[in-house]
Amino acid sequence: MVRKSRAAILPTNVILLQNLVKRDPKSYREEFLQQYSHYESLRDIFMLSAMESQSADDTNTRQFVELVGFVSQVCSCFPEETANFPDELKQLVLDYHRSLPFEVREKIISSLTMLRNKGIISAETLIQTMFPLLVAYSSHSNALGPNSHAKEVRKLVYNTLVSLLKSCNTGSKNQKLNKSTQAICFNLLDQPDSQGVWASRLTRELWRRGIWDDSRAVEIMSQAALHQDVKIAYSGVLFFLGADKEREENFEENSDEEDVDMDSLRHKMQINKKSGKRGRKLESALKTVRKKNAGAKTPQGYLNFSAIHLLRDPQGFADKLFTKQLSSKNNNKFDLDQKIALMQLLSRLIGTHKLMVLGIYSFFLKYLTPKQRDVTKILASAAQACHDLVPPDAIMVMVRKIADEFVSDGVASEVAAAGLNTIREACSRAPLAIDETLLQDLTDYKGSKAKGVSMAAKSLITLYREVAPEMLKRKDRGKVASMDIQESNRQGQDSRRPQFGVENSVNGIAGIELLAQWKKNNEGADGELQAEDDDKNWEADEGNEDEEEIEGDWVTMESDKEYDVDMSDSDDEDDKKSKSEDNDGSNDAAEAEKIDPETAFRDLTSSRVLTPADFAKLQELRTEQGVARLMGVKNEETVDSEGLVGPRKHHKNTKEERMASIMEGREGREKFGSRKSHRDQQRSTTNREKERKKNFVMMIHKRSVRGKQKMSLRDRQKVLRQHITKQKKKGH
Amino acid sequence: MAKKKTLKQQDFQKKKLKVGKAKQPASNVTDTSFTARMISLPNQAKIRSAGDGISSNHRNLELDVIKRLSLCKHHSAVTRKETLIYFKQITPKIIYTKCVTPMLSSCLPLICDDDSQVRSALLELFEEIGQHDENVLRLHSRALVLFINSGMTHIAPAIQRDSGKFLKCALRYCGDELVRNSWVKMLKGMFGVLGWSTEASKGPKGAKSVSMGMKTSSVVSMNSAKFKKAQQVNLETLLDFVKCGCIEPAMDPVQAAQQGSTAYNKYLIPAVPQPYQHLKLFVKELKNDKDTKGSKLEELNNATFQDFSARREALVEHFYDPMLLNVTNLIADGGECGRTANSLKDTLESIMQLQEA
Repeated sequence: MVRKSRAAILPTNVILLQNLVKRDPKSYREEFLQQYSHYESLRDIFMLSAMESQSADDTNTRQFVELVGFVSQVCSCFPEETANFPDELKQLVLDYHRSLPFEVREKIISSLTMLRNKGIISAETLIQTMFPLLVAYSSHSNALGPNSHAKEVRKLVYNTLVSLLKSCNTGSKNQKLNKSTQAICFNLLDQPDSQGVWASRLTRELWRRGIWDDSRAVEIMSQAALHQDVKIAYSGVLFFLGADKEREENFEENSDEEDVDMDSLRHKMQINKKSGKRGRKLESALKTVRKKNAGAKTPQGYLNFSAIHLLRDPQGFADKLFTKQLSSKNNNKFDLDQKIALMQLLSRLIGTHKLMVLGIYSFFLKYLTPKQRDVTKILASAAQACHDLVPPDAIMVMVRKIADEFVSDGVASEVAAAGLNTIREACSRAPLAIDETLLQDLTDYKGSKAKGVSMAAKSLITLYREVAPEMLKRKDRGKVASMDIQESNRQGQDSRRPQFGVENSVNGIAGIELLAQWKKNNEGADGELQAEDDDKNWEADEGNEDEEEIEGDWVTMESDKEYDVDMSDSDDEDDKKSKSEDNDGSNDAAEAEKIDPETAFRDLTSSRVLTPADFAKLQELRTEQGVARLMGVKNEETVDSEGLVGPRKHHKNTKEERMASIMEGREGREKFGSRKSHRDQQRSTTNREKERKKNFVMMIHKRSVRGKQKMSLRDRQKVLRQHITKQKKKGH
Repeated sequence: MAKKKTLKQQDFQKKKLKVGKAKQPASNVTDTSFTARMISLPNQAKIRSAGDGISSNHRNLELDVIKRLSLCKHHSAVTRKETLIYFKQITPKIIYTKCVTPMLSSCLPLICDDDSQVRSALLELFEEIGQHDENVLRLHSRALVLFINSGMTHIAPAIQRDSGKFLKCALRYCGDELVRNSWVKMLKGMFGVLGWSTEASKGPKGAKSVSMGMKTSSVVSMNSAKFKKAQQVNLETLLDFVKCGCIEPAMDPVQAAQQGSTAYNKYLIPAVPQPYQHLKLFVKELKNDKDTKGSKLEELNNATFQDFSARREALVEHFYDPMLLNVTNLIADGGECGRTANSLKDTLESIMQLQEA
């Protein structure tokens, strides 16, 4: 009893002392000072051994590690005495890291992190300590030293940095720290050697986690992409190609669990008896889920801008990327995969921002042959690089080359299909990139026996029916297009063929005239129904409101609000009807069908409020008409390189795919495999197993076996019944 | 039965050799490959070529010493002790060879050894080395000081108490170096060992802290016989140290006459191994950017005090009052300690007089 109480107050080891000091710092001040001076003496010993390049002794190392931990744990209790401590640790790890044993380095790094967490040193100080270490251990000279544990140190330091930046940016962003760290990253990238790889890795990681999401981070990566070191440049390129997807996946992972819960709730709501209470329950659950989703999607006010959109000078970046990396003399340092990644990035940049990098189209020519490895990827990026602001001559060369190399009778059907599909993709972005004769030659492949080729040729025809039907052969134009052409010819108007440099910009709402026309057509049939329909349009939305809310598209609709707009609608409809009647009177029918977009917009929006149902209809009509393609020239969606080849009949699976399908089939049927591997621990066979495996000949004379034959019918039935129920309970 | 038989037969069937394929390993093959993080090649150590040109007997001895260096870290205390005793035995033979330096650098950490027998063996080893050539200890005085200091601040009371003995031994052979280069550090260390506080006399600061200026361990074990004995030894050490540092030895009239007439001693080759150690040309210390005004004592920690008056000044300024206070308490207790304390008090008073003069 006495001994125990003495042990409680007599610190015989550092851990015990730490406990005591933390509880009562004032009383144990002398002990702390003693330990602090012990730390100092050990530190001096370490420095001495560092000078004489001896390895310090094991017990000393252990003690020192212990003491560093102890002092950093309690130094918040004695701020005056330990004013120099963090600084000493910093100097020790920066100047002597070569000679310190790995454990000491590790401990110092973690202690510095702890001191940061306790607020004794600033985050800037920690970062200024960590970056030099990261650089020092990534170069080869240090990594080769004995016992340096370079890899572990790098990992430790890197993780420390990431978690530090993460913790500093939770809640509100610490812009000052971010700026200074980014400045360090810029400086690292300025150096010619491969140390910049840490800058790019760090930036990529932080971007993936949504901690850095500003244009400065993107600028770091653009600088990395232009770096002369292959590794760094490649990592920069990959960042732009895959970073956004990675980030989205990261956030999706986080918000997975709630959806399942919601689904089951809704399902229950459908099946169970509907009562007000349950409805309210669902509503409240919905509200919390929505709140959670909103929180998860915007942690720290994260904005969902893609990296490519955040570029400060896309044109300059693309120019430099092309001249410095892709087409320069020393582009031999990149292997083909890296070159393809560069091409993909460049073409995405050009497509997204509609940039002018004219050299790239002739650059592609070299790679556009069927025998080129990974040619589909190159084809995809070639198509992606086209847009309507590029002079058609530049693209035309490329398109002709593709047509010459890929599309002929002498090549395999897949090759021809790939060529045609690529041309279609390119022309959908820049319709003028092909001349009439070539187009007509290519459309002749619609009669090809190979399915892929004919499909590709037909899709080309469909495209040009919408864009410029005049360029097609007369029989390919289709009914609507040829009627249009006849119409315009009769009136002596110039054709609606697209011209280079003429932009078709939209005022108001794209395709509104289609809606107006549709409305008018419907009016003739069921004009009276229209008024009530409107009401229903709104209601329809309320009905499937909750479905849309999950996606976050329409959340502002409130079910209990009254929409008074409908009251005046019927009058408006009448007005319009009378107006259209007027129109009918003055103009001919053909004229009436054509409604100018501007007037339509004016009419529709001034007279009524467009319902969500109207917008849905509008979308439908636009796709029907193919205006979406014309208007959009959507360059943002990437060309899928696998899709270019077209549908393949006999696709041979790779080994991975086969294994994947096999594994898929095996899911959840472990009972067919051997039990042996599923045993929780190694053991010998049980008696029951032995019994089962026993040779039947040995058992045949046993009473237990013979007795079964002598059983009465009733007993046998009983046993059988028992067996069946047992098996059923097992779940067979 | 039949099944078992076939199984047995299978075991003894010879495996067919196939063209273009490696021979199949036998079922009882043992994998002897291994991976290692480090391979040490002790017979390629740098020091090996040291003893060229010396008789083979000497060389063998050196090799033997180097082989046994790792035994200083042996887990068994008995082995450590025996190694030290062996070193002590062969010290006269190897004192002028190169292997003394590695020997000392692996023996020094044993100042903080847990086992008291090992420490006493080490003390004997130091004595032996000092008797044969005190310049060896002078050369390593810096490392010696560091390890003694680490012993003085050790958490285990036994090690702490014994560090006074080591200091006493070191003082005998390289006292001059010690008082010059680590005056304040050692004084502070001795204060720690004796359980005295340097701040006890400072009025406002002492009043502020709750602490008694004393460690719990020293309070608890105050009256044990061991403690008394150790206190006696440590007080003597402190007395020696203070005397060595502050009171100039009376010079022989002949020597004084020599020194007075010429100052050419300065231009001769110095007799001590590291005459310019105080310049700290090859010593690295951590920079201290912040100016610590609160505790000036810490700044002096690494400073050197080359002459007696400077040391006296430092002593009087920082240590005189608490020392006097504690010494008077000890005198009141009486006994052996009281006697030593009394002489220490006398020394202190004479120092004060010298300082005032």
